[in-house]
Amino acid sequence: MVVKDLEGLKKIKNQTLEIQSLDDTKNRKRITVHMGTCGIASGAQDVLNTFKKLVRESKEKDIKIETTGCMGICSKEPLVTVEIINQEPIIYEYVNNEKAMEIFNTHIQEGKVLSKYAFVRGKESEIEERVQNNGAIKGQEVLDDSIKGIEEIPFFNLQKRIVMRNRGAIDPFKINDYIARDGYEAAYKALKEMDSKKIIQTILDSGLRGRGGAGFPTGLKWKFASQPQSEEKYIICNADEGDPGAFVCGEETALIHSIQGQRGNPRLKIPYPAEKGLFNKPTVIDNVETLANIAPIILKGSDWFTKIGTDKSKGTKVFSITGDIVNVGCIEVPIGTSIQTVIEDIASPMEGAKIKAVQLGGPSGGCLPVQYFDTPLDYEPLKDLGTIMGSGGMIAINEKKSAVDIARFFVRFCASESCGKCLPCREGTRQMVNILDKICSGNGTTEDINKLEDLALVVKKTSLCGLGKTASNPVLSTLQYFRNEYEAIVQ
Amino acid sequence: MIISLRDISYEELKNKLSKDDKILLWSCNTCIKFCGVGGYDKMVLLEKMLTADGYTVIGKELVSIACLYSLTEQHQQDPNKKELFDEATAVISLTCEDGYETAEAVFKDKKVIRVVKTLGVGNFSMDRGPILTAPFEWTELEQNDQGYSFPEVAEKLNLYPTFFDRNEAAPDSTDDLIRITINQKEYQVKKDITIMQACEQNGIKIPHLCHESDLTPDANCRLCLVKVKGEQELAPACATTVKEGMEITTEDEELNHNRRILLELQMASHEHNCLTCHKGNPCIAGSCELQELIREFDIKESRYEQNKEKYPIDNTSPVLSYDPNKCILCGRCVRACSEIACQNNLGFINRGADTLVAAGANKDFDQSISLVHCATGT
Ligand SMILES: Cc1cc2nc3c(=O)[nH]c(=O)nc-3n(C[C@H](O)[C@H](O)[C@H](O)COP(=O)(O)O)c2cc1C
Ligand code: SF4
Ligand code: SF4
Ligand code: SF4
Ligand code: FES
Repeated sequence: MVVKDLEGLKKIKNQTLEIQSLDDTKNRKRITVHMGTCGIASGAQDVLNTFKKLVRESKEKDIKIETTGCMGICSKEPLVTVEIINQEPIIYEYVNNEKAMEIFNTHIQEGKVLSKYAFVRGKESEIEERVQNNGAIKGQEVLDDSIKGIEEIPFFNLQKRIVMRNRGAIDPFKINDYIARDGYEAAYKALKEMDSKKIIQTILDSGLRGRGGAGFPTGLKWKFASQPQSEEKYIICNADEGDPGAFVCGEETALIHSIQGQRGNPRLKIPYPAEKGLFNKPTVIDNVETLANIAPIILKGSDWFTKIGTDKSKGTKVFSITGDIVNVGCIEVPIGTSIQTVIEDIASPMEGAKIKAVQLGGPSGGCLPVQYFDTPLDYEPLKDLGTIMGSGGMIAINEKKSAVDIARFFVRFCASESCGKCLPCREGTRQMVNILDKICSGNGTTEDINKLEDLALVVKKTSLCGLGKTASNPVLSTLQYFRNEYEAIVQ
Repeated sequence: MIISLRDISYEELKNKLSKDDKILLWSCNTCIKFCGVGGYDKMVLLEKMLTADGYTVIGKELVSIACLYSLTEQHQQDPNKKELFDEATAVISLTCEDGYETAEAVFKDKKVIRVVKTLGVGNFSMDRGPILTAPFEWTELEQNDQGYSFPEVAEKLNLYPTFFDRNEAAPDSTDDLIRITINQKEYQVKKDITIMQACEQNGIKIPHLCHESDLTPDANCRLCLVKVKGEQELAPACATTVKEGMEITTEDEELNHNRRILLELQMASHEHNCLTCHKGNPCIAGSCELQELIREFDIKESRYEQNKEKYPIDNTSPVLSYDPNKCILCGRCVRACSEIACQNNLGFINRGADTLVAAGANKDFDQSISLVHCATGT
């Protein structure tokens, strides 16, 4: 498929929209199975097979089966969306084979909604339209208004979707699905209507900051890399998301080493990758979430983007929320949303669980106690409190859990992920684990607490890369906010 | 060991060069280093002299054993060094005559300049330095069990007993001098050098273990961290370039506290019996630098729990034995192996506190490492 111009792109878009739309002749009904990793892990593949079998056996020709990725609310998987022409889509939760059969017989074939299995009415990609039309889409019959509209659920209506605007709406394996939702129009605009200077200026003006953790202005990074003369330059998309795994290989210089086929060890930042990066050529390394913001900014302009977020940090941030909450999943909120909003409204604490703290920023982040829950989720305010935005991990912790155990869990993780190159991180994390083991076993002393704090500070100050510099955060933040828990278990 | 003495003066050397030449300094790190006419420091010195006199030195290349043809070729063909070798028009060979001939054969299209005469075989004595014990016939020197010292040989054969003298060249131009402050005192230093070099040149000691002047800085031991005014983070002196007006603090309570903790961490990492270990005694291959620092910081024992795990000693190499229990993972051998021996034979395996040095895809040690580079004499 060669697309030469905007017309070509539009043609594919229209054809795909045509194929996707339900019509009275061929495609009257559609079953969409959400096949993200979370869905598959909860049995979505079985559910998909069951629906396929049912459609085959029914010999009906007007039912389409589609798959898409994760909808964000992983704890409700497997999720299935059922659509019938001129009727409101219904999303079913916790679907298994038996429920699939019932849904097929009752909803697909008889046209009756099974409200006992239903999660919501409507699609996430149509929330804005639904809100404008008082909770419905024109031309769609509302089948059962005892089921909540998707726009009424805080989990969905408090989110702002920029980078995840297409989730649940496209099949990530089908490029045409993306083109149908304006995919590549930004690339066309950037290549045909803008020069490199203008593109960089747009990103600078948008105020976009790196989502990989440090929050460095992306436009500035691009500008630096545009300055050196070189025949070859590289852009690396850092998609080493999902913290467990070879954690340290997500660090940018370690990533460069990995791509070059070397051991994934970090190196000194100087020379900066923008001067000498991959294969010694000027290189930009951006996090995948950062890059996912570029196309919308190019299409809608920097002014649009600067209206979202805070003074210093524009746009949205994706968080992965878990812990003692009902709605485990992946969310995208405007930067500056408070921890309170995320934990209380979006995540919703488990019944009976009293949340005492939140662990933020991934394994090397810090713990914040409940009295700081009005803090906006933004780079600087979090850093000031001893934690980080980091990779956007967020774990709600209930009051029954020990802060010391939590610190030990994360320091152990960092110790096992340390690349072993520099002394403070290699040995310091091991010794922090030793001291924490001693304290947790009940044999610790007040002296051990002080020793731990002192060591944590030295490791933070002297480590070579970000892993070691932040590996102490779990210890230092729990010592700052939950020192009493340490003191209660030492002799 | 092969004995060589310098036989051309600085004037004669300059006569062989033109100001348009792009000069590459080429030196061997074995015998010639102990004869005082080669090695990294000597290249640095010669580079300074030639630069001060208006010549263009484009690079310095240290090779572990320059008389090996295949090794010399490997350096020339190393993709990381190719540009340098392509650009050079003249190569000054700070090697014995054998090394010179090898260089001449490999760098066919370049002017290769010889600096020494090779006189025979000898050894290195702790009190008299290098001595010539088995002179070649043409020298007409008699075999002598005691050996001839360099001043003796130099006089008898009309050679130079030492390397070129810095004072023979023009003084450093003041153009590339900058002003910096170290521990509240002002200094003038050359631009483009590291904080570590600036301090060394001015007699200020900064503790270090992973740094060695002939290797690229790796900044992994973190002992040399210093404060630079205006910077949030501590800077590794071995890898940070000085800048005009930089204000540096190399020592204060906090920095020394960090260093003490780091040394204690190092001591706890394995069973280093550092206070009694014989490796503390100086010898030609160097002594244990960790032990020296532990003495300097007056550390009696580590406050941290010692790792009791014992790793097997690797004795598979005919010339070396690697004892992971004494290794501090400074990586000097690894860098020496890749940068000087051009072998890429050594590397690190495992992660975190289980990291070890290993040879060729976890095989055993072979001759690739240059043991003069080891920080602890492991
Ligand atoms: C231990 C460690 C792990 C990291 N892991 C990731 C990662 O998984 N993904 C990522 O994009 N950045 C990661 N980073 C940050 C990268 O080094 C780098 O800053 C980032 O990719 C730059 O992109 P950005 O400016 O768009 O944030 C990690 C950093 C450290 C120190
Ligand atoms: S801080 Fe840890 S991960 Fe980073 S270079 Fe040092 S040892 Fe490796
Ligand atoms: S060789 Fe090892 S044990 Fe011996 S003094 Fe040095 S560091 Fe200590
Ligand atoms: S063997 Fe010696 S030079 Fe190599 S890493 Fe260990 S201490 Fe350093
Ligand atoms: S000498 Fe600078 S970090 Fe080791």
